[in-house]
Amino acid sequence: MTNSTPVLQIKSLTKNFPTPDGHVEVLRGVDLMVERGDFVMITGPSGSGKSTILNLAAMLDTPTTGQVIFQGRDVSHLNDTELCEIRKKEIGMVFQKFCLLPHRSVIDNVLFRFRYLEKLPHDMNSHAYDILKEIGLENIRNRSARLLSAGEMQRTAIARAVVLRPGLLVADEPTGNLDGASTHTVMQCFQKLNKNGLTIIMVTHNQNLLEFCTKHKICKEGILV
Amino acid sequence: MNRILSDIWDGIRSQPGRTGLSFMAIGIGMISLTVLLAVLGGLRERSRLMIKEMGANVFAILPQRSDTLSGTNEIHESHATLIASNFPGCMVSGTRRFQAEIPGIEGTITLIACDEKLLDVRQWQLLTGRFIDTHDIKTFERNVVITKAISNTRGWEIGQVVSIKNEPFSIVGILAPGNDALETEGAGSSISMEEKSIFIPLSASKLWLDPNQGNYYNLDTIFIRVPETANLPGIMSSVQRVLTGPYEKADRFSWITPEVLLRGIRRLQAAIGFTVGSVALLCIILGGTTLMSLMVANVRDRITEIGLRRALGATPRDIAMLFVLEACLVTGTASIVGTTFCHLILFTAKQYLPSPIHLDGGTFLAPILLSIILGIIFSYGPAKMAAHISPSEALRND
Ligand SMILES: Nc1ncnc2c1ncn2[C@@H]1O[C@H](COP(=O)(O)OP(=O)(O)OP(=O)(O)O)[C@@H](O)[C@H]1O
Ligand SMILES: [Mg+2]
Repeated sequence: MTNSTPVLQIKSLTKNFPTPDGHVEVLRGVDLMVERGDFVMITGPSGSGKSTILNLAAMLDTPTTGQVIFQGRDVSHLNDTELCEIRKKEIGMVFQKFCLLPHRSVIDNVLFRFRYLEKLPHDMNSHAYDILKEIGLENIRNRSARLLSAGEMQRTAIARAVVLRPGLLVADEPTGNLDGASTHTVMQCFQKLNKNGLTIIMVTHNQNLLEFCTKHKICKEGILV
Repeated sequence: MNRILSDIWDGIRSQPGRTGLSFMAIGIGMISLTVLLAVLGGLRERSRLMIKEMGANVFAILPQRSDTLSGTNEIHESHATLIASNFPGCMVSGTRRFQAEIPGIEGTITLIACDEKLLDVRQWQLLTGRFIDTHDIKTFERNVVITKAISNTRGWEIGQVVSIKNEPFSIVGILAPGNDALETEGAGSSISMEEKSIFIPLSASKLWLDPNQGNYYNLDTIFIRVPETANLPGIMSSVQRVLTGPYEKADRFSWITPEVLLRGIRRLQAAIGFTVGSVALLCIILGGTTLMSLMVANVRDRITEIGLRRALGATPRDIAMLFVLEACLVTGTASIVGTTFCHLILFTAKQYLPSPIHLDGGTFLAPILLSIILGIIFSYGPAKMAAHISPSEALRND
């Protein structure tokens, strides 16, 4: 893998879901190229398949046909265990619901990123501290996650997603539950991380956020344009 | 390890109510199981001692106590002689009991008038000196053998002279009977041996009997030891036939075998096994199903967390392990708390309880082991369900 290898390449991707009345074809030939340092935003109507694309990009799911090539490696036919291995180290994820562990502190939630690594890095505590500082949460790092504001929660979730310096950050409507001010701080976070070299794919309904991205795609009836 | 424990702790503390409920159910189940094991163990121990004291191939003949004292149900020395001469392979010994006050000893003491064969028939252990011998019997010797308990409390040694019913007797031996504290059903006190007994030659006991009285040659019990290789029930029925003559019937005697002695204990064992056992079983089933519903609800409530863990690289196996270990931790600690508590109570209240109690490593470890197995069994389904949740569906916005 060289520096010019795209982080993610999606080629003629389709995805069907089985339902009681036959298969529904959600994605019908999606193509996407994400280069190192890109900040890709995907918008589109509800139900058009945006989350489905992100799940496939994050290797939470496998495609029906087509290819997902992550850092030069075709991952479309890997089994669950192999996908787990890649997710463990290379993919950071942020969701609309923050998915924090409510009883743990901010820093413990960030450290939860290391939970399934076989070998814990000896400097993970300083990594976690550094990332919280970068995101501006270092002063509340010992506060219990359930006591945070929505914006702080989402920033904690972002810190958790990026503490391992993943190859790709996938964010599904990360500002969906936030008010205007929090949305702005969160987006500034993303922008800062992106400027430092992080590759990001994000789905949003908020057209105002498009100023932050480097690439914009629209999802329409299972196709990206 | 640390990571798993803090994960489990997180899970438990997010639903203290449900966890507490299954903790209690399992704890109570394990308490009743411990009681069951302890009581059954105690009864088993008691039957073992009983057999040991009676001797596995010994049976006894007693007068039927329920009859009126008409004389027809009495046992005489001639019966013992009759059996001994008809069954040369068997060892036969007759005894007769008296109560006496002995200066220096509190309460009444049981005097056991016996022949020289009693020690061998009962297979008690002679500690020092000798037992009553043929010479004592023949010459009406005033020699006695005392139990260890009397020797200990009074400090009496061999050679000491004691006064029994105003006659001087000298101690020739000290023995340790098989067991104390036997309450045997149907056998009465003539089978078991009180701790404080004094053995005197049967012949010497005639000193305080009147030859003109009808009971001069009476016995309380005849003990018969059959050879190791012989079949006890067979010999017993032959003896019954021998004792059944034109004027006598074998069924006016009580025939006590180890089997008869154990009958009561067996009945008790079965009753306790059934009652306490079904309570324990119910509690365990109740605890198990509570645990299972706890785990199912737990999995449902934590779907997002499962999705997050999967997104962070957890394999289905990791997820399943999380729930199984959580369940095992709950059941394991519940049973450790329950059994420890139960052991403490049983240990301190042992002597006030109506049934014998036997506590050991087994009664402690078995419930704990069982609870862990239960934890695995009852959480297996929910854990499998959790492991099969697809991460993309678990993380959907809803
Ligand atoms: N597991 C599934 N089984 C059946 N149908 C599914 C499944 N997942 C998604 N779908 C369907 O696929 C379509 C696209 O879903 P997806 O979640 O990707 O939409 P979306 O673009 O993210 O919508 P939104 O903007 O509302 O989040 C929907 O019609 C949905 O019902
Ligand atoms: Mg969506």
